[in-house]
Amino acid sequence: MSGRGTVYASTVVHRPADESFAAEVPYVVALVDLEEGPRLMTRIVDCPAEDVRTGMPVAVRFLRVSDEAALPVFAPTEPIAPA
Amino acid sequence: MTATAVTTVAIAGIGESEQGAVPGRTLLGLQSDAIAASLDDSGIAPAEIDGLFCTGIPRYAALIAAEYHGITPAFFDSTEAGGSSFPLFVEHAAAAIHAGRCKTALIVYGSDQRSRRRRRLGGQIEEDLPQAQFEAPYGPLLPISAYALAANRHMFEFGTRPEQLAEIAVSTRRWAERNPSAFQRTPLTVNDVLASPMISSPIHREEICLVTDGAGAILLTTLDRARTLRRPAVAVLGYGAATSHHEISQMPDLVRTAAADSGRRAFAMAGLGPADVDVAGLYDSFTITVLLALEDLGFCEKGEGGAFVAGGRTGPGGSLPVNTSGGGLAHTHPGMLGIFLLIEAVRQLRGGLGERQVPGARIALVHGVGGVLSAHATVLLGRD
Repeated sequence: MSGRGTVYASTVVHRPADESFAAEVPYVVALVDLEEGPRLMTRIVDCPAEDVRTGMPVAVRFLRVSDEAALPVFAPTEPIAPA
Repeated sequence: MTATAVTTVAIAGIGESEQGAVPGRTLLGLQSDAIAASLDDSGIAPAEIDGLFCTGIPRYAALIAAEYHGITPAFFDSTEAGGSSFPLFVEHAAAAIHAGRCKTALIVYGSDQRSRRRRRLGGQIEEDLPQAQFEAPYGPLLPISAYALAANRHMFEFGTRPEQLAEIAVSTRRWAERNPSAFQRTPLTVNDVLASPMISSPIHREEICLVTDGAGAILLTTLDRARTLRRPAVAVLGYGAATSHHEISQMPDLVRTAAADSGRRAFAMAGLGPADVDVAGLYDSFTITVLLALEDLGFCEKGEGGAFVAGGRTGPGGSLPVNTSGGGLAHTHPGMLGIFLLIEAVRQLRGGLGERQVPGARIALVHGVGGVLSAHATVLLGRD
């Protein structure tokens, strides 16, 4: 897989889903369509929350969350146009 | 078009417990209050109930309800399809009565989730299901963020604006102002909605349904029997159900829901179309839920929901009265709304609702949505 995709839909979450997310709000939860077809839930990172746009191209990063697990998250691949 | 009852089934009784904050009652106690009210409403005797449809208890819902309420049903069903369960139960109960498996069916739901503080923003996720692995690690609010994603996509595809979605909350509140038993009756403006805290964009706090305690019950029987009972019979004219996914990341298209299928089935069975509907109860977990249902049930074209709801079209005096009780946004929402939409539809068709009565209402549509736009069930009801 190329690791590239497009933001199909996104939402800025302003309240933490539980205590473990409290330090992260606001954060961007998105559905990303991979170039190869599958869609997955993920986060958009390395981008101010207010600048995330549905339809923007993104590429995968891996966010290590424990010794055994890393989560695929996505970052913009093109310069961000200010809101 | 003249409505013709193609099934032989009718709603003969409705009942509600106290709604809102009811800290002194358990879930089953609230259920028993609603059942007693429905029996009193209809004149049906408790021993006549031989069909039982219940969900909203994590396991064994119909068995627990049967035990607690002293019912020994010949036909029982605990199907869990979220907020669509109750219109879905109308289909199941009508089919069971039609097949001769029972004659008097009770649909009941209750919840004490407000007083018990059962809700969690992150939702209830079973750790051995795919959602725990593929969605929960990213921290979505469930179900709020799932509906927010759909609203975001609707805005992207069709240019729908926040103030258009807000209009749905405003129209609903105007109905609630006319319902003395509504939980939230404070006047609301579009500016109030847009100024309320953003929870998961583009969804503001005032676009999210209530969390209340409460229970509702409905009794169905044959239309012939219902005509001999205490209140005017309300005929079940048509029904349909559909499901497209469970998790939001598996929804094929976030702005096209399976309501298109459930609605088409219900309208075809009844021989009716959207233009025949006098009053509608559309599950309003969030404003976007109503917008999508209006489009997918055929009240307007796909993508035109934002323009359709403008100018109070779904509010008092509008051409399509929606959620005349105040719905889940302002009347009551004890976790699942579907049964209360059915109860309000029956009340509208019986008539005499005072300032919230839709004059001359003959055909009502009820649409339930379960999960994250996952399950859809549509029922058409008609004054006998």
